[in-house]
Amino acid sequence: MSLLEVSDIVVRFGGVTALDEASFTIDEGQICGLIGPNGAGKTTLFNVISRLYTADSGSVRFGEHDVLATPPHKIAGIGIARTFQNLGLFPSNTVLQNVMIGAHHRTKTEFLQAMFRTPAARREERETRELAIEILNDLNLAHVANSPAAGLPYGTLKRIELARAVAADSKLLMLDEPASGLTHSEVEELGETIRLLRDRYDLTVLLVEHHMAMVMSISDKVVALDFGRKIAEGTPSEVQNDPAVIEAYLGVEAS
Amino acid sequence: MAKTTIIRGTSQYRSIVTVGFALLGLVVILLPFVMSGFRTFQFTMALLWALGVLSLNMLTGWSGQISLGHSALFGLGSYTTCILVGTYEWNPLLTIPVAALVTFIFGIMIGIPALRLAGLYLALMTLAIGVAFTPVIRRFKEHTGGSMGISIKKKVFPEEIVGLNLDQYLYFLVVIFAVVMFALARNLLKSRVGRAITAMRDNEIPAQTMGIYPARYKTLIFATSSMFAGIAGALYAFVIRFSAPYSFTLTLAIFFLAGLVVGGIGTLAGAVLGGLFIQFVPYYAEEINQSLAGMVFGIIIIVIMVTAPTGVLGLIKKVRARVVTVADPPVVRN
Amino acid sequence: MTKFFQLVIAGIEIGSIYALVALAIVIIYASTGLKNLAQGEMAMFSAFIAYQFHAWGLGIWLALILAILTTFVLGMGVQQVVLKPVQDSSLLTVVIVTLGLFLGLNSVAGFIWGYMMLAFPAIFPEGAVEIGSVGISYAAIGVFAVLLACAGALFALFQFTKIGLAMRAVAYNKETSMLVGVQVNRVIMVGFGLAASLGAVGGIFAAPKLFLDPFMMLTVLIYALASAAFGGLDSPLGAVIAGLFIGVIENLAGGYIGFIGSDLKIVVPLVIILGTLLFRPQGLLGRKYIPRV
Ligand SMILES: Nc1ncnc2c1ncn2[C@@H]1O[C@H](COP(=O)(O)OP(=O)(O)O)[C@@H](O)[C@H]1O
Ligand SMILES: [Mg+2]
Repeated sequence: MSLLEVSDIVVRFGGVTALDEASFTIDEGQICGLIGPNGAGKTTLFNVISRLYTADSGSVRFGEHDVLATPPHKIAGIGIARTFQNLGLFPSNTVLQNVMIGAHHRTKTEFLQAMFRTPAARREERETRELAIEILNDLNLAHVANSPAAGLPYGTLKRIELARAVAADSKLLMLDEPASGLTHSEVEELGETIRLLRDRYDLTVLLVEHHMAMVMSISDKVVALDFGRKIAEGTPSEVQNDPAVIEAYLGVEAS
Repeated sequence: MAKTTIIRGTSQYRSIVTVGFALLGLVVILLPFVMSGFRTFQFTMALLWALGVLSLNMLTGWSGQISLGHSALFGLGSYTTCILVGTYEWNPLLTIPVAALVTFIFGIMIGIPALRLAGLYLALMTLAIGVAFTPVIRRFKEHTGGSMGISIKKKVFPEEIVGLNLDQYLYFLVVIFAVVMFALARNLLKSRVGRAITAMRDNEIPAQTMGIYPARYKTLIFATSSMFAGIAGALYAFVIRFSAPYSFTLTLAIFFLAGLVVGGIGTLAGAVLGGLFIQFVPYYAEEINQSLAGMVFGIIIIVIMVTAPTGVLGLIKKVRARVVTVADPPVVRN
Repeated sequence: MTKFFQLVIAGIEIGSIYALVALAIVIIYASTGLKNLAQGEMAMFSAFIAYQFHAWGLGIWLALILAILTTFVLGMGVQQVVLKPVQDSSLLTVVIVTLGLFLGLNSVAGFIWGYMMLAFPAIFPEGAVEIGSVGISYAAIGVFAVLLACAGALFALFQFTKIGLAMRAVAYNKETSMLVGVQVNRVIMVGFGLAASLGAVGGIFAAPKLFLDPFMMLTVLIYALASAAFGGLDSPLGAVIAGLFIGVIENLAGGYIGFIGSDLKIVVPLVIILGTLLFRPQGLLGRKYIPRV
């Protein structure tokens, strides 16, 4: 059985139909590329799965969970983590704290334990910190750990967001244009990193990206959207050669 | 001049901090013995205001929610103590947990509807609470003494306690409470909960996707902040031995806010500076003119927000940064 | 029944004041996204200015017109000096700054005119129109008429004048307006002056009833904010309707529910704010929007 199953999702904003009966599935352990021109509805789909937007109809199943019946703050708890296209960091917190916040749903300390620093609270705090440091090391971010997130270079911020999502220890990792704003060599490195993370943390990855070379090289499968509809689904080479996909891209942006 | 760098956690850093705190502790302990009773009383009051500012800071500085109802919460704590001691002759110290509980519950009652929407409406609703407090207290005059207020007889406190006169006793009582409350606040801020709250303030929607439930944290920090204000208010009742509706008007709420802005929003030590400011600026300003304090506060709030939003503490840190750099140790995997 | 109508009329009279201040709040909010918590204090200040002109020997109508014009200029000045620097800052900053303004204005008024209640001369003649057993005072009729006139003038301004059109454009979208050549800053400045003048009308017409003191507008501010929230923060029409409605409800509640009486009337706007917030956050006539992620 597939891990994620998106069925007939429809989302409308006034006159705009951002998603039009979009359906696809991802198997456990896969890296699934989600491509499509700007405005195709990719981010909207992420927002539906994170429960930030409400779908007009359709359903999303994740493992045994009915995602659309899960409140937004419990999505992390069922094992879905994500990054944001326009960065969703906490600028006044340090990088280390940002990553520790990623582990929020896995930890338990509440008001009273925190105020009185009970032994359990201290242990948990230490463990969370060690975990975050480990991930920061994995992603070559240890040197900025104590800087406030505000003011770091864009490429670094993108990696911090990735680190934070990894700290959630999720089953599904949704990355919204992680390579945007990165230099050419950084993009290649990012592709490697994503694969590495998938293997080390047993992740399934849903990857939105415009950087075709990277998507095609690391994805096990690719789904293409245009105007909210799925126009192709298959292996990277199938999708790459699909006439509808070529048309969608050529029609919008002649490259 | 070569700049020194001090790394947190090293023995050098620890000894500097230890010496600093020891000196501060010495000053705090000696103060009531070298100052007059009235001066001691003034510092006690400054600490009470500092606790009020601290409580507002937990809400506004940490979670970004604004409250103009903290004058009412402070007043609620004060009235709880005055009524229990004055009317029902309770032991004053036992009224503190009651005041804490009452204001905590009240905080939840405000916090729950408040979290339905953004700060704009919260400002509005708490403003209404701040303004409504005085007439509501007047309305229930059977219990509150109405416009006349309600007082605690001086004799509920012994003349001399462990060799201290009443001013000194109250001073140390408030100091102890202040130390504990500041420590609790600091622990909370530097924990999973504090991180969740500041994350929510910085960027609420992503915070939600990390599993942070905004409703829960907003309500609880509102209630905790209310409780801190309530305890400060109860201590105020110890010191002033009187509660009147006109002591807890919107002006007090704005004074707390001014203390917060002056000290530095979001900082803990700033609250102490804010408390001193609230106590001493009006005291000296009103010798010149009754309205001067308000004008000074109003102008200072605006000027600081426009030019130096980090407040006095931010300025102190900037100056300090010219002389020494305080850095965190590098992060290494162990 | 007489009591009922009497209460309704008193409600409309005070509600007209709420509506005027609420209109001021809504106009500023709609055009700048800024909620001016000092709106009531600005209105109070204007009432004192009118008082001062009158005390210097001007006729009451001349005094109040001059006060309103002065306020227009002062309002623009306040916007330029105090609010413009924080216009694009966080909500928290803006709220704090308007509260600083609140405290500052309040104290300056106390400094100049003192804290004793001052009697403000009647603007409308004494007496009432009798309909059956119900008396409608000239003051009530007058204030209501002033509200209608202001609302009408505002409508005409927005619909038929160039500056009104520019204000609507800025309210709708600041960036686009700038691109098509609207002088956004000037428009906001004028909008602020206009709002201050509307508030001034409210303050001045409230003064004979409430007496003058630096705290006179405090409760009016709460009612006005409740009206603005209830009517919809971006809807002038909503503000007028809600202001009148709240005035009437408040009087009926105070008059018929013994437990509430005059002290607890203040809880009425609180309940209304809460109710709005819980059941219709965008207000009666406000627009709803979905934030983008
Ligand atoms: N909150 C929103 N309100 C209105 N329209 C929206 C909103 N979010 C997305 N849209 C619209 O939905 C469509 C899909 O957008 P999006 O999902 O961001 O595309 P992509 O991520 O594929 O570039 C676009 O037409 C966009 O304008
Ligand atoms: Mg997108």
